[in-house]
Amino acid sequence: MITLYHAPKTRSSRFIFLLEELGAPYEIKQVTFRRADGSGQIDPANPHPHKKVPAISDDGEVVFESSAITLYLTDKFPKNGLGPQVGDKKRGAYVSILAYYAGVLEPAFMSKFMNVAVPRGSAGWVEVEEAMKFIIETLSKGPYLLGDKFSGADVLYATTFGLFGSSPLLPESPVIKDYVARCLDRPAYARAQAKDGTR
Amino acid sequence: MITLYHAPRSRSSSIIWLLEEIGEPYKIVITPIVYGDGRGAPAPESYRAIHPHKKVPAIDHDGTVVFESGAVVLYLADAFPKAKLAPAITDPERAAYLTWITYLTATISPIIGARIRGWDTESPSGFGTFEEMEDFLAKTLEARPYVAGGNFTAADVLVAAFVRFFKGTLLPDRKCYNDYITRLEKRPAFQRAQAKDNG
Repeated sequence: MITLYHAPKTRSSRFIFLLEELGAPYEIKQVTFRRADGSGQIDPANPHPHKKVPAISDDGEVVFESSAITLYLTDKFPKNGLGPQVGDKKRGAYVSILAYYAGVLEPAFMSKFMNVAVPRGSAGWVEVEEAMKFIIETLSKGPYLLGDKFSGADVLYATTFGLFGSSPLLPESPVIKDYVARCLDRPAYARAQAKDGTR
Repeated sequence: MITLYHAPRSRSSSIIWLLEEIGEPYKIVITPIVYGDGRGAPAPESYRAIHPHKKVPAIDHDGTVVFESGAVVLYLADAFPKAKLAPAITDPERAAYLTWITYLTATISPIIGARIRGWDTESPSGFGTFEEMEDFLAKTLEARPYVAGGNFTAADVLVAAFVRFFKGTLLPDRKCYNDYITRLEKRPAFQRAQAKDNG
């Protein structure tokens, strides 16, 4: 049984979406956390070492970091085809785009938010504009990051871009706008929204 | 056949170690990069088909391209299960294994980057606090010999590179770090990889 440590309207909301897509058995445990504005209390029930969300536990084994949770879940619950399995020709592209989210895209957005220049060479990531150029090119070749088929990677990317909406952090692009609309127009997303809860 | 796109003494050096652990035939293609201190030169534009930002590491395995350290490690360890470098999908240690690979690239690496550049002198950077990260790393290595549990995994290849590089400087001098590195440096595959990287 999967337990999702969740706070409404945060980066953990997307995992309700993914778990609904997977048809996996799960429970939601709401935790509080210290928000960027200083509000909210640290919750000792949260197994995340930085007391952030999301984290999941699977019969006591804890997984955190969004990309790791996504791969863990799509490998463990393969029946609805949300991620290419080991041996599939698309496995390489899938793990690459998941690792890219973790190691490049998120740090790129955070650097822009912190208003710091990304040092070329020593940093493992790049500026948002350079990362988004690659993502837009990828999405210009097919409706989803892996081509024709929706995957766990799209849950991460589309909800991230959806969350930023018209924020100046995200350069405006019709390709991204259409992609977000396509990914969030899924019954599992609507079910997840209904279960997200209130602050 | 596996091709590793490699720049000497860079993030791709760990992948030579991993490939030596796996024991399958591979070839190294030396790829120019711009190093952190400005040395070097960017790879030719043709390399962008392999890595969108012309970085290393990346691999080509029988036509499947994988880029980003975390992805390369995950992909290879799963693709060659005989080497026993990845807990199976049903193994409880899979949870910590995936978490550590992602945590290293998505959180530890940016936190270190922020510390080196002084982005966290007034308040913690948005990546997370250095102290929480270091506490989690130390507690993990005090509790068990390898990051995922009782066995050496591909995740250790990534974590070891980081601990070796920063122990005694940014990382405090702790017995658990010294023991961990001593344990890993004894591995014949590690020693072969050192020779090949310097080669």
